[in-house]
Amino acid sequence: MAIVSMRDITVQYGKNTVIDGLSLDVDQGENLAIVGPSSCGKTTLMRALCGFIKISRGEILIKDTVVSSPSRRIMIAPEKRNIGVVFQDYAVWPHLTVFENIVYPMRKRKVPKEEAKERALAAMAQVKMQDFAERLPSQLSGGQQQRVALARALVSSSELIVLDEPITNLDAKLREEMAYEIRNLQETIGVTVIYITHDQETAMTISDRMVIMDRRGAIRQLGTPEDIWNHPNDREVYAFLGVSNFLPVTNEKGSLHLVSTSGKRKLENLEVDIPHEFGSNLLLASRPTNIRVSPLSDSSIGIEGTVERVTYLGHQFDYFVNVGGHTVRVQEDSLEAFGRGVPAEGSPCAVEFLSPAVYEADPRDPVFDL
Amino acid sequence: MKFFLTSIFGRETSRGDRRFGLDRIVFLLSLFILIVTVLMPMLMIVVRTFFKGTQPDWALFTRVVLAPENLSAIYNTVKIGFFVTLFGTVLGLFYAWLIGRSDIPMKGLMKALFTIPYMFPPFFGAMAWSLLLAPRSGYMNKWFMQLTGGTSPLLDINSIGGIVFVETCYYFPFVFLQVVSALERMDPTLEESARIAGAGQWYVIRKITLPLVLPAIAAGAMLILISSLSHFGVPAILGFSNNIFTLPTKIYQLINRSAGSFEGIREGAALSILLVGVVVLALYIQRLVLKTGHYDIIKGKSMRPMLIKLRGAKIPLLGISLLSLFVIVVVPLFMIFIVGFLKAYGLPLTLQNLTLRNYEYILGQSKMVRDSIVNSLFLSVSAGVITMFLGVMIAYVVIKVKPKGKGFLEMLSLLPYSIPGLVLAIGVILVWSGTFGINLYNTIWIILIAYIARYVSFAMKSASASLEQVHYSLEEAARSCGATHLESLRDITIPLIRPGMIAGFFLIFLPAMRELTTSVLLYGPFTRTLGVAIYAINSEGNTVQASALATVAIGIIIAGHFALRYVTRDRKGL
Repeated sequence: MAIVSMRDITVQYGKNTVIDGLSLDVDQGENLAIVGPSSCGKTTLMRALCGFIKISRGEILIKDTVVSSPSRRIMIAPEKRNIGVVFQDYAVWPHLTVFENIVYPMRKRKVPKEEAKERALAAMAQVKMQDFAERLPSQLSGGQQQRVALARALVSSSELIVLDEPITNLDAKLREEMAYEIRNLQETIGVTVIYITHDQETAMTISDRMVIMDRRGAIRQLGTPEDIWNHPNDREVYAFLGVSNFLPVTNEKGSLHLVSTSGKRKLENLEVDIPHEFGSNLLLASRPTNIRVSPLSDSSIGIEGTVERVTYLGHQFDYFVNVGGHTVRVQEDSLEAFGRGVPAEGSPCAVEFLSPAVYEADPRDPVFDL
Repeated sequence: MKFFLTSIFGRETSRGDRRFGLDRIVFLLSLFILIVTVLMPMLMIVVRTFFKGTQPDWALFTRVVLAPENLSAIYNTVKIGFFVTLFGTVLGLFYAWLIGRSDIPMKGLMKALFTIPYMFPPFFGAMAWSLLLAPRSGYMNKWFMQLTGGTSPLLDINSIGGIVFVETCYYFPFVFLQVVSALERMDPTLEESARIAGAGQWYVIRKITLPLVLPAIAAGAMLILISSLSHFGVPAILGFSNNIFTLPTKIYQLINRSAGSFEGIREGAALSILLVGVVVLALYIQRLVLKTGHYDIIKGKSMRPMLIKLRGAKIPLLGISLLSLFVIVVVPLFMIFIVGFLKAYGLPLTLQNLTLRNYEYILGQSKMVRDSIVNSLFLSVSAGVITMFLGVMIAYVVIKVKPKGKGFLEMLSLLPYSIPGLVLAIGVILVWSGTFGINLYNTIWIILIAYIARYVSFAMKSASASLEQVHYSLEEAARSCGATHLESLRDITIPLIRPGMIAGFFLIFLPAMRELTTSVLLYGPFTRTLGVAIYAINSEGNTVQASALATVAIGIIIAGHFALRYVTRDRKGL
């Protein structure tokens, strides 16, 4: 069952359209991550859902109740929507103690005093802040304030919590801890979590489903993290998910040819499905970790290239390989690289693309005129 | 016009949309108050000057402007303004550099002394210096004449030079405070790298430090200039006896002499336009000056600058600064204090000539004085509270609600900043003496209205500063926790800006307590303020009683400052 339904919503700031006709259903009890580059309208979407801004078209339903609908002149006030929110800057009230911050939503919702106190203490225990009840926010670190905001959101709503870029300001270790904590809370309490972030890695570790938004405020892909990682809908999603290489290739009767400075070169041993509706100009997409570089010999498989730069990063090697005039980025696990032999800079090599993807290229892309 | 109306009254009538209801009421209410208290007085001055009844009448304005006595008043005003600005800037710069960049000792003491002129009205200084340097009766002149056996005084304070001197003493802290804070925020590495590159000390001051703090100097100097141009108290006390008039004192004289007659007020209004014209010209020049140099190298962060070693010059410079501060700050205060205990003005300052009779008289017998203290307390407290809330409302609309038309509201609230108090008073008289069916003339309410208009800029600036600290997500967090719009304001926003509001109250209360310029035109037989009472007693020649009352006022102001210190001492959780 959908706890949140957004139907064809459009949000405008003056003449500037931030979100254009977006539809999205959030299932009860799921952990949905909304991911996209900065300023793609993620926060606007969250603010429209919470009732802080008006939508100019479409409607939003929470638990089958219409909360925003300009055509029916409905705009339910934020305080009546029952959503727990963790803001980007935490928004922990600086003049109230940790306990007062956390108990506030229950005071507003007329929860009996004793029960409110119990639930506040329980929420504090959940985020491991029970020892700081009487502290003021100015006496807390960023991570601790974050946890106060999370506890406040938890007592504020047991059904739906929205987190807006909540852990981007933490250091790497705390970030990992908090991501795990959020996941854990969601599993034990069963609350629906909408998690907004520009960091696709955290989104993948946290979420049941992911929504990828683009700069125009539209949804590009919706699915489980595995699904999206393995089958990105298009080139933008592919590029957004991580470091990627795109090589111009042409499709000639089912076999792919690399467009290079030395003419077209056939790519052998490629395992790739080419949808039949695709034209002839394509892009071959591959991740750095899915490319294998081997010393050039008669028996080596793959296309010929030159190793231009080798960088040792500790746990892995980074290579820049020139393949027919294109620079390809390759990453290899250190252990494996030492076992197979680290290529020297300037040495020729064979480059093999493992499980690549193909996307249609812009037919006017000048790279095909090589 | 139609666009403007729909933008104000809006069409936000959809159900459940209370936010817009409350915010719109706040917007409309503050707009209404500002139009009534600020805009209408200004408009009425223009209307009355250029219209006689409903007929346009340009003759009055040209006649008033071209009258020789008024021309000489313009000349005096500009001349005094120029020299006060020049000397005040030089003095302020010198002390700012000494305290901000040199290793001179006793900085804390000097900084504390610098804030004292800030606290007291300049006309107290005029009274004090007149006690010392009035041509025949001034104590210092008398000692000088006894010493030399001559009849010519050492210095005559009742002159343009005297007015310039007293105003400089009270206005130089404007430049000092601006420049010291700019110096403290300036990245010291900018100077250090010039030294490393081989520049000498003096070269660095001229070519690096000075250009960087130029905007701060210009801002401070402009404050001095505007204050001096529209200043009433000092030229009134020092200039009248020698027929030295400035525009403000001329306006006062016109209105006073005409005893409230309509023609007199019209002439006053015409002169007011002239005065506003001079101030606007000054502001325009400031724009031009500030446009030429804008630097972002001055950061908000406080850094520890490299201090310049004064070496051999340290002791002489310390001596000079302490002595000059002593003369500027301590001597006038002491004179007012001691003369307040004298049996009669002119008696030698010896123990057997001291008495408490003056205090007995002003605090016990004189109903007028007691009334004036009560009036001033009532006016300062109510103007403080009302204006502070008005300022919060305007700042809330401008910063948080941001409706169409907020620029107009902001402009209206900042307008009184550059309107001389005397001009505002004339405008208030024109609006509230029956023109629109309400006659408040000679009541305390007309003074209250004028105070609100006069101090709304301070209140709005101080409220903006604290509201800007309250990020909108703090309010939204409360909304999402189940608080209504009103509750989120009550539980979150108001408590967070409360220290700022209290400070804002005192920023109005303290100057209102000693206000002279506006109330001197508005007071009636029973509505004298403390400032007016001191001024009146002093001009009647009862110098000793005026000094005693001034001492009482100083006591109240000092108490107020301590209260301000106490409330702003630490801001819990901010």
